[in-house]
Amino acid sequence: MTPALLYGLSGALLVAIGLTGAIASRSLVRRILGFNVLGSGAFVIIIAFARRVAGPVPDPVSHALVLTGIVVTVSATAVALALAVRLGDEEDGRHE
Amino acid sequence: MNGVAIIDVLLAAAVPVLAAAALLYRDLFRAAVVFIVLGLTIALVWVRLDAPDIALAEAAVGAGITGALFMRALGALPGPTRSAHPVRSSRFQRLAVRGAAGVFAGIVAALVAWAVVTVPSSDPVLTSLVRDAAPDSGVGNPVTAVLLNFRGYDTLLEVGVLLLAALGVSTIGAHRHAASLGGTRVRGPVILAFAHLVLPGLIVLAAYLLWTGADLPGGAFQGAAVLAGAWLICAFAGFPADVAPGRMPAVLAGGFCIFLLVAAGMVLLNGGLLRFMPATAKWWMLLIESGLLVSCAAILATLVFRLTDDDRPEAGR
Repeated sequence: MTPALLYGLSGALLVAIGLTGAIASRSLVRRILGFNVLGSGAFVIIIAFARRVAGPVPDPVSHALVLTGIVVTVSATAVALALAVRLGDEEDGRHE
Repeated sequence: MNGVAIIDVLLAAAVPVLAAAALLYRDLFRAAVVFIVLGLTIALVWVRLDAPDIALAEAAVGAGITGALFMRALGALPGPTRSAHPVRSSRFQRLAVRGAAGVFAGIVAALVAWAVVTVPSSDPVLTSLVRDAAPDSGVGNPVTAVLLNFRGYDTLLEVGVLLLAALGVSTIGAHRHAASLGGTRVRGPVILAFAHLVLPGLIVLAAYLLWTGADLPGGAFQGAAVLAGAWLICAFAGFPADVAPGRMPAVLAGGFCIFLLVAAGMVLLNGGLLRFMPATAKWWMLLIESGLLVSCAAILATLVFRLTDDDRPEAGR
């Protein structure tokens, strides 16, 4: 058992938990939270794989990919949350 | 890499537990707090996996900015449950859904874990390519070299995605104010003292992260997230942090435009999109990163500020 494998398995659990949260939650905000957890799991697996290569330093290409991924995730999360807030507004207006 | 240390076991166990807690807490505000803790814990995982650049980005963007986004959205959502789709269901139905979700999670976890265990560690073709070309990249940090030199167009488009998100959030969010970052004041002496204490340090830290990113962990995006945090604190403390509405588009798009101009200039100078010469690469990349630092900070701050209105009557919580 290497640390890379250990964290890879941890990332696999994150993917499963996040995907389930994104599908099974009732609240839109919780679904977006689940989507973020799913993304984090994917990132953990990618970086665990990057550490598995032979040599003193891990694979920098995977690191750059994940760095880009984190920034794109925050962009998508912001737009999704804006939509969720706006949807909450619309539903409020309908019930009044 | 050495063997498995106790800290690795603890971190690897804590991460799924925190994730499950974030998704199971009934109170969404608590869930968001646990999510921020999860982000910081994953930042420690990056450190253990020798990925300090990602650890910085995760702590600043993944935990910090995303956490602020969730807090702001929750403050704006109506109702005690803050649920957008209230559905009536019996106790049995809820149990059935929970059970099915549990089985589903188990199957997905088993499949992905099987993939993690069985995928063979392949020969790192890209790693050796980067190592061979690194001396010509102009920077010593291989991650920065990949981000801004070898795969610069990825980063160019990434900034485009950020810009689109700022545009989208500004369009979707219902505002009465023009493109304004003001009006988010938090009252009280604590925030003022806190702002006086941390603001100078945060601004120096952002510049330091940008400069050191050339050779050590750091970079424009990590610095931008820190600068965005400073911007938010400024606005919350009531300091004049606002940019004139007419200038805001220029601040938001400036980094992307500089990046695009440099990319086009390299076609004329060196005959390829973002193809740098080893002697001058460092300075072109520094120019791009300086633009990105300011623009990405403005974009991240805009994402948080423009997510919702501040003077909404129903948001008084």
